[in-house]
Amino acid sequence: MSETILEIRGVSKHFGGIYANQDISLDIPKGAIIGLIGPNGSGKSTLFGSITGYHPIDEGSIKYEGQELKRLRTAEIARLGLIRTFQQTHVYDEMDCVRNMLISRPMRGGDIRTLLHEPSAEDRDRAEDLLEFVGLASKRHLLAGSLSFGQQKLLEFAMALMNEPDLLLLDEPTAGINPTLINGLIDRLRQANERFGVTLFVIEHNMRVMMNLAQEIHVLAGGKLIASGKPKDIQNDPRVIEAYLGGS
Amino acid sequence: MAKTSPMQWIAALAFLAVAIAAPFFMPNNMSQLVDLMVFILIALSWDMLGGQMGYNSFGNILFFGIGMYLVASTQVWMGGYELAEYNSAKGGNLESFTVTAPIFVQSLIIGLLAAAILNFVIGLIVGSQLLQTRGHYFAVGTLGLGVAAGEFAGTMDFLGGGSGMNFIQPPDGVNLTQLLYFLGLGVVAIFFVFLTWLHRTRFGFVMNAIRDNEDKAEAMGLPTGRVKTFAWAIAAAFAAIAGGLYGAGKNFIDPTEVAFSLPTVGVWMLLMPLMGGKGTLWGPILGAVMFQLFKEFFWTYLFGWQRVALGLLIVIIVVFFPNGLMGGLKAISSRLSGKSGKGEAA
Amino acid sequence: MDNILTNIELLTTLAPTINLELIANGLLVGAIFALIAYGMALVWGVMDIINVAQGAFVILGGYVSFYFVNAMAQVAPNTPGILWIVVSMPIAAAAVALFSLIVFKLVIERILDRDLFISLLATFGIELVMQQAMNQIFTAEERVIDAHLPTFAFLDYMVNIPGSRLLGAVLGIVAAVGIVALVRYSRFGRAIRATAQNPRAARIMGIDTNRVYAMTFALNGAICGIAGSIVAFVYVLHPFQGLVYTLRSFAIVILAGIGNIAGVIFAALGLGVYENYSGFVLGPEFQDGMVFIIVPITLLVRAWIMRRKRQYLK
Repeated sequence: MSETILEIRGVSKHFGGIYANQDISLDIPKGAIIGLIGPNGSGKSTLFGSITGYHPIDEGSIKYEGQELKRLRTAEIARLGLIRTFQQTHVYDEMDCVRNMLISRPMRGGDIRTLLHEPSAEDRDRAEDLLEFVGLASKRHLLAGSLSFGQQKLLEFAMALMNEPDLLLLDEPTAGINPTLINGLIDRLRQANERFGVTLFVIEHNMRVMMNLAQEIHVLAGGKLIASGKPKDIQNDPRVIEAYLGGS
Repeated sequence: MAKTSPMQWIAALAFLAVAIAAPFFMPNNMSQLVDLMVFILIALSWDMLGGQMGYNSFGNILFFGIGMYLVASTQVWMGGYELAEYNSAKGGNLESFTVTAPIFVQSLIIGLLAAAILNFVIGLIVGSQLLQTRGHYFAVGTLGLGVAAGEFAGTMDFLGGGSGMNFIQPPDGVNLTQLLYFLGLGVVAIFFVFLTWLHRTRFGFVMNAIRDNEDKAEAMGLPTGRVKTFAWAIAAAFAAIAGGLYGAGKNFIDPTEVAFSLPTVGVWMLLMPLMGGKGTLWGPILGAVMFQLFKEFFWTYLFGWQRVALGLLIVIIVVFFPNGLMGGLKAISSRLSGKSGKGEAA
Repeated sequence: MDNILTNIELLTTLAPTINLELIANGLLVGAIFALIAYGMALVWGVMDIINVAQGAFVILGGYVSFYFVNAMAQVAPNTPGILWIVVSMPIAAAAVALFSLIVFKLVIERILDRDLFISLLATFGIELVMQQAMNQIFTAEERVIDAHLPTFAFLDYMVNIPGSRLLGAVLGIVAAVGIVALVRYSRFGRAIRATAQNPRAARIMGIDTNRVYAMTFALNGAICGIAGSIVAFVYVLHPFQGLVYTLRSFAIVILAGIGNIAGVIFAALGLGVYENYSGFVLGPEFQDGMVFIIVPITLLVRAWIMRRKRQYLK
């Protein structure tokens, strides 16, 4: 846990005159599970967008494995092994789950000649394994667009794992998931972290999930980082309580 | 899943057998058969982007027209004549520009190859820029490009200017329509096999991914820009071949009425995949066959009003049958099997 | 190449007053383009449909005006032509608005919630039907209304401006002011703007959005009818000229952005001047091509600007 995989320093991003992220600095240690919480509109998803190149940041620097990301485009960042999922699901609606998985195989160099092959048997096995892992094996030949919101979330998670990321940014992974299945999902997130060695950076509204999962939590409010620490400390931090209840 | 089923191979072979036999049963309809091969080519070529990738180009006529001019010009050059001199002789002594049968055939084939290569390159250049726009913008941007090309071609005197250019006359001993038909059939077969293969590779998967959700494809690190550009370049190459065959069959190029004719071929190439079923391998082929039947029917029975009828056909298809024949068949088969499989390319 | 250089030399050193003439003429036709483009932006903004048949509507309005003015000239040969030209404008507007309503009921209403490819191809089909039907009915002969207006000369005959263009611009501006005021200040206009902003909320507020769509499309038809009756005496009418107007409007709207009236006016005037210059410098045969090519060029420029913000035109 000593090495840092993502180093965020003084990142600011404003839309019009409104700061969505203001002077945010934090580190994500390699191999950890880190949480990001905050009230609605506090800039959590904007921070994910800043990290993954969805919009250029106005100030600051974001380093992944020592490499500056801020001039790279989304796809280039993803090819370095830094993948995100979305709050609103993004799957390939008109294709079945297996094909959604096969497309998600990593594409490290970005050389399109490597695309001129049929998917290998290994890829197919891995796709089936991961669908099994998230509990979608029985749906594998259904069109992704026909799945429920929660199932699409699971599929997106499986697709992200298929991409063999080193750092995975998950935007509300349990939103829309049947509450009885949430414990299972927490397990899988932890397994993904332990078995596949994926560092997780998770936005989550469900505090119970966060307390169970994260080793360290960062709190955003009004675009600023207001607190960081162990889940237990965060839970009792007056600034955090103020941010959630005071509606700043 | 992506394996081509035996049914499809049987269908393909049956189609090929009928296509090879057709000239012997319908010797009086050879020019219609040549048109059919051209239509299948441009329908398949348009559908690579429009159907499989979700980029609806209204301007693929650009490649069609450039291909046509290039084939005509290659035949003149290889016949040993100056292009400007040849075109300025129009209306007078064009008959004096003759070529031998072997030169005619060779120059036709080389012209088609050159058209394919040049338009591949043009597709790469234009695509790398224009494919950065999406949706409405891409559609109308390509439309502007396609019609602009026709206007500019009409200003170039060495290409015959606004009054167009003739193809060099086929010498005795060359059965032009038969030659064009079998060349066309050959290219259709190559293109079909190529597309069948392409849609089983990850390249084809990525094309579908771009159609379904381009933002996601980028977030997953897929090289969407390069895939789009290369796909369009390939489509451009085949559209150019189609243009060359079509022009040679008509024997005459008018810049805005034949080569870069948006209101005819330019919009037919969108209509055919729609009629058959966008985003499928067989849809554009079936659509081309259906369209050719409609068109011949209109041209035979609706003297003067055939183009109005074709416009109405477009509106009716778009409003009432947007999923085409393949879409209808799929709806029926999925109702029977309780499953749907629109994601499969073939 | 040589005549292009000669033309540039004319503009820069030999006869720089030509610049004034080109700019003035460009600005005057730009007023008509602005009117047509405003209609396109209205339909686009409110209904999310790009009306490819826009130009065909304009041409149809022109033919209505042409036949009306000709008929009146025979009925009452001693009245001034300008009178009938002015009277023909509301008639052309009403005729094309009615035609638009029919098109809306038959086609547009059924494709409102479909994807953009469907609406583009459907309106393209309407464009084809209209241009071919007009070709059959009105023939391919070029038609023009002779307004019998003098050409005004300024600066010792160095700058010549046809009176018909002047009249066209004046009438176009009057019509545009009326229409913009209608959309700004009437109840109908408020319903249009509410629907454009958020159709769901508008429905909840009790606005019959389908009726708003129908009226918007009809209003656009009226705009095209008025523009067509101006085109009929400023330019010429030809059944196949419609697409040029469609693409001009599209170029103007993407330059200006939807819902930006001032932008539409500036872009339209700019396009008018640009067209006059390119026609003069390169030769008249290049004029249409230079209009068409402006569409992909403006798109690319905007795409480049947006890419810096990591956004796309879509």
